[in-house]
Amino acid sequence: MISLQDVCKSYALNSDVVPILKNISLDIKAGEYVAIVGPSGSGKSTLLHILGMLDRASSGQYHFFGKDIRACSDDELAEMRRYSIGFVFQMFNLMPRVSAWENAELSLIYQGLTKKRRKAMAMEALENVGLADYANYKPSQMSGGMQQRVAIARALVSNPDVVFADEPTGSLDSKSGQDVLEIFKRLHSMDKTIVVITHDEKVAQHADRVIGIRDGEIEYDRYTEDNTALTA
Amino acid sequence: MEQALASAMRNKARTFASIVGVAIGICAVMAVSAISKGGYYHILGELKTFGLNSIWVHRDFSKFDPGKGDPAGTGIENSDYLAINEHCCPSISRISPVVHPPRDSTIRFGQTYLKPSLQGVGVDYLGVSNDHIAQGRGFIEHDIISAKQIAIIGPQIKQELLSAGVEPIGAHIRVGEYRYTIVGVVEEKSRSFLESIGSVSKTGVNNRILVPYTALQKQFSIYEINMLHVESKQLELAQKAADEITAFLGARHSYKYPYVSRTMQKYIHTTDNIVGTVSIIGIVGAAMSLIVSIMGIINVMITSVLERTREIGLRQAVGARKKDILVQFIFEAMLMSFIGGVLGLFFGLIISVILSKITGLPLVPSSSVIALAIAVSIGLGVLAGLYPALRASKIPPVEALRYE
Repeated sequence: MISLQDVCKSYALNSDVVPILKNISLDIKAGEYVAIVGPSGSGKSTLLHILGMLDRASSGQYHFFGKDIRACSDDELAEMRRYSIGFVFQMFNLMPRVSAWENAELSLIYQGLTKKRRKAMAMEALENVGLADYANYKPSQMSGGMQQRVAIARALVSNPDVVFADEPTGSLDSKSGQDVLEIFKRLHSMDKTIVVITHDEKVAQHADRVIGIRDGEIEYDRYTEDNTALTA
Repeated sequence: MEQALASAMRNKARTFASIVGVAIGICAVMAVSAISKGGYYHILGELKTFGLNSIWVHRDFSKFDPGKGDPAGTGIENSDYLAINEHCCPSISRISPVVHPPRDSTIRFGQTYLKPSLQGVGVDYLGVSNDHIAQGRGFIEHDIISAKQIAIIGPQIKQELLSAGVEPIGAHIRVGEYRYTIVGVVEEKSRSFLESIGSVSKTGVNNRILVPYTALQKQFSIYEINMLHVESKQLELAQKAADEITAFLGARHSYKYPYVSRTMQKYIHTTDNIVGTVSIIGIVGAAMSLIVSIMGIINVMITSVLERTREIGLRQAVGARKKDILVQFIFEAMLMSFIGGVLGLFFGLIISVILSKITGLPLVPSSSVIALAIAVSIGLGVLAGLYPALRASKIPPVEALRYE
């Protein structure tokens, strides 16, 4: 489903060119639950942004369901994000002054759906993360864990092919973190593709596959053993 | 659209401040426009007391030089008037002769002496000079032909009669040894503004005694007409009508006399210029306040874009195109400006009504001003939103999401 080949990313800093990613090649199959781990500054966030089509590779190949992503226009990338990709961020990134369901419906607005339809879909997504009763609450009235679940509902509302999560438990206490990971596990059991970035080994253990990044290169790429034992 | 509405509601205080800014701007524009339009119609109203289509034609005495053997006389005879009335000058609708008494004579009723302006006129005079009968009647053809000794008086003279205990209609006025019976009173005319700027002499319009010109000619044994007061069919035809008459008169008298004509056009142009200048000054001032308010919106929008950078990133992440972001912020600015415009319109109308009550200037309700105010506020809103919205749409998603 996702195929990177020799992807490089570098930034121009003053007159220097700073390489962030060096010749990354990897394939992610549909339904996989992948964790990308690495210390800060390793380039894992940049990799996620490129995978999530928020950023563009400097060179190399990126195919998403066979589609050549590097050849796509900005508007085409926006369309891919709208229909095929869901994001979950460390800081939730909810709009503070609107209700949970109005946060959850956001991508549907850009799909041009009617308000009635959007609300129905947002409510369904909130139900999926166990927040059906909190649809009219504003983020400030919710705990961090609940806010992150609203954010997950927002990522799921358009029924995307893949969910990208950037340190999804990074701002949460361990109980709330567990809740989030439970949701991911359930999504995985429903054959959603999930890519999580984390520096937390325990979070990574939940995934089928862990890819280690260091200094912009893949350090290791391995399948975990039966992870139910590890999380116990 | 909906998104814009929602976010405009969020920062209430700031949004409110910029809305009020636009409202004040639009309000100022409307007030200026109401004042200048009201003023214009006020002056025009005074000009109308002359008859806007009026033309005055008489011999040009500035070229009169008895030493050169120039012929005496006014150069206009009764036959000229009748000829013009019958078969000349397609641009003319009505015409009246005006005869002035050739010498002063005492004018009195009973023992009360008057100092009116006495004129001999034709049957169409009231129509041409835009006079209306307030009481009694005007002249009819028969009055003129038979040189009836009757008179129509202005309201000032009516007052003098009333204060002497005399009912005007049917009363007699003596001009020298001749007695004229009052048959009508004309309505009062206001020329206070024109008088105040010295365009019109003050012994005027309400102090007239009008008699059939034939009667005046008979009394003073004269056979001439001093002036023709003419009405053109349209304002635009005034100069043409004047030229037609002077040419006709010139030809009838074998070019013995030069003639001069005056139309209202000059005065109307002057009014246009004065009011135009005043309203330009006012509009420039009002436009300044609009520009300031637009700057306010730009400022609010730039702040809003900065504050909501993460939101912009998020919206891009969930699939908003650059265009969507652009439209959202432009619409937000437009909405603010539009609401301000509507408020300004509302208060502007109230101010216009109050002003017209205070000053007595006519309130000129103008749907074009309303449409303009709405269009301007929408247009300026779009303009104000353009730059901040462009900035918002150009933020790369990754940077927007990382923004603290």
